Amino acid sequence: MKTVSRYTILIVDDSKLARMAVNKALNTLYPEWERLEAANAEEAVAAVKQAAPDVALLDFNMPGRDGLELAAELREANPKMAVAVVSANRQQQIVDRTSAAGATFLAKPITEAALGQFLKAVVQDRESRA
Amino acid sequence: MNEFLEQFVLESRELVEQATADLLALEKAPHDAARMDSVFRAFHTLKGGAGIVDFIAMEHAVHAAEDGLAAVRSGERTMTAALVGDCLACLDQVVQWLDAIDRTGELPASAAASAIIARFASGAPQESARALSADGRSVLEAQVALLDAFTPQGWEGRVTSAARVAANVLASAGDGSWAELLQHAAETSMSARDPRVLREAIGKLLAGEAAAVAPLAPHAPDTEPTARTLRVDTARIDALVDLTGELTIARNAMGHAAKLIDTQAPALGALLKDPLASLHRLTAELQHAVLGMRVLPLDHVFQRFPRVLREISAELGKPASLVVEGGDTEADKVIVENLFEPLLHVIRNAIAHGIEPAAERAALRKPAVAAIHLAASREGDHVVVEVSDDGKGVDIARIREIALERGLFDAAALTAMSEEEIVDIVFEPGFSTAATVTGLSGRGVGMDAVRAAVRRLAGDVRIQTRAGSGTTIRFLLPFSVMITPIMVVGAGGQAFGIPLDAVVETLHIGAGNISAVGTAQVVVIRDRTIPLVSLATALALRQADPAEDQVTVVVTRVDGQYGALRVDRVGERMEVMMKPLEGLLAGMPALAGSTILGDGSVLLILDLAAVFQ
Repeated sequence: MKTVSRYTILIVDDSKLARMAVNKALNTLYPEWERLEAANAEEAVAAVKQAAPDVALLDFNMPGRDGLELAAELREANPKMAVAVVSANRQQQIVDRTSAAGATFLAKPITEAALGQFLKAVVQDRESRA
Repeated sequence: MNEFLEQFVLESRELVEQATADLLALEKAPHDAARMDSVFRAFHTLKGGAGIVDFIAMEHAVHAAEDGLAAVRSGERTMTAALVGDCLACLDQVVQWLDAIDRTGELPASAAASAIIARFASGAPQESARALSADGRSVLEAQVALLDAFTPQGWEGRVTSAARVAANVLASAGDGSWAELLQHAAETSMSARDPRVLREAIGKLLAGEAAAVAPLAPHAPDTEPTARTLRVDTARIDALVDLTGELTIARNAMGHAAKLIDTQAPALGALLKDPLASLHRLTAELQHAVLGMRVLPLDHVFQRFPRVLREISAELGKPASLVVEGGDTEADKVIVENLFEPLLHVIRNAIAHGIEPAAERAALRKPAVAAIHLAASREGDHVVVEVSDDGKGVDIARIREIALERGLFDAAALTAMSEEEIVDIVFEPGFSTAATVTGLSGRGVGMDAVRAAVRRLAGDVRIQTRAGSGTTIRFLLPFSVMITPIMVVGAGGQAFGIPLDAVVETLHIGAGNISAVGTAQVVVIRDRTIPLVSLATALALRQADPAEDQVTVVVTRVDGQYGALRVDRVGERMEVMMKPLEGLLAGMPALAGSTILGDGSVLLILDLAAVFQ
């Protein structure tokens, strides 16, 4: 019998519209997952320390800190968390830095297919380790 | 307008404002790096938003400006007044598009980015499609055919090669701006994993749309009023709600003080009367207004269910479709956000227990795909949410059996119950009709948890069932969560609040009207025999009530059941903000919540349904 496992996902983007778009995709992909949202780096750090999410989606282009720096900091606080860095600029340099940081690069705007692929991999990885 | 478009317009206006301020500052101080970063980010986010709502023309126009700014950031270009002007022109175009969206509720159908893109391309805008040679056209047409032949494999290579070929054709025709647009379309195709974006861009180019390089339309004065919305963080609204709550508590404290003054100095008390009445009215209006801001459409929670339903129906092998109605009905954010779990449980139950297996449905000539209705509507101060199925209905005989088996009720009690009351037993703790515990419907929560969750929101849930044709679970919820009118009663030396909507009347009755039935007591009021509970003894505040000639009772009606509550005294009526119980009190079954009174003391509010159980 299948049980619906509930993951917690943190969505970090200063644009609420972008967070809404991710939420919409999640409604179709994993409606039962718990979502946390952060509009800036500080909120994201606080959320990770408090709730230890399983997955984080970080906007690359945010005021103050870029998504890669934030990714490194969040991974330090919660090493088990899967991280994707989201950017509309598909520059090779950003893609390379993302994978060097152990994170996945996702193109913005995020499509349901791309998000689904990433999250499926996260779930499979988790379950194979469980 | 859908919520995405609404948010898009809101955010875009803010970003335009930010970018405009940055550009004007950069015009004066071209080397201000912080301003440069800020304006770049604003354009970047504008582009991202346009991408999310599929506003391709705006995405392209803003992308062109962003590229111009990126060149400045990387030192390839300097910030000139002309570039500032071009960026402002782009923002101006964006504002006109946003105004059009505000007016029509839709993306502008005729929006074209080419005029803006041309501003950022080197050289003057050129007509491209007309300048194409016949050979150029046929090469472009070949690329369209290539992209049309969509196959899951190898499309990425086709997009890259088609974009390169098309760009070469355009470069030889001397048009840089369209080459850029095509490159962007190719990038979008790659990231969206959809070759059609590029295919459409080339198609438009061939159709000669590029010739429509129109000058920027002058900013037309708004003839229609535009709906303006302010974007406010919910934390700020919550702070306002809390402040209003504290103001109400302070008002109650003033009322308490005024009463003391009135007893000791009636002349002063009379002076306070009118201003206090105004304060009372104004705080009530303020609270109403503040709570009206903290609303969400029920779609917020409803939109998660189509997928959930698919999953459950696949798992249980019972095909079902979901029909959602009234998703635009609004309710307090707290209510909407807490409805997911109860609704999920009820919908699961409907499919697991309500819907018949396929063979049975076929025999009954019911449609093979069961219909689950999820509907919301506003009824006065309440919001009604209903989940209906077209299944077999609740098996009343089976509920009786189980209630007996589990010792929830004895046979005599069950015989005396109406069908409606029997059906309501499914909400009793410890009741579950599930013959087998399935992964989806059995997670250790029963309908009792659903009712408890809904009652925490100051609402209730009931079942209506029609044998053979279906079941409706009806949630009745308050529109806003905070204000509860109560009546204060005294018992055993303590004061308690009773929700006023449960109070039918208060009266003094002669002790002779009370008669004993076993260990319980009943009283006849207006020809109706109703159970009498002494509040002081029920809450173990004292062993027995003193013998009195006259007894004060409050007649209540909860879930359609009358009850009489014996109290020592009946106090005032007031509107309070009920808070959920915390800490040590949280486990007490007879209490629904607490509130803070004018004199600073805590008043406990009774859960009458529990008191009469």
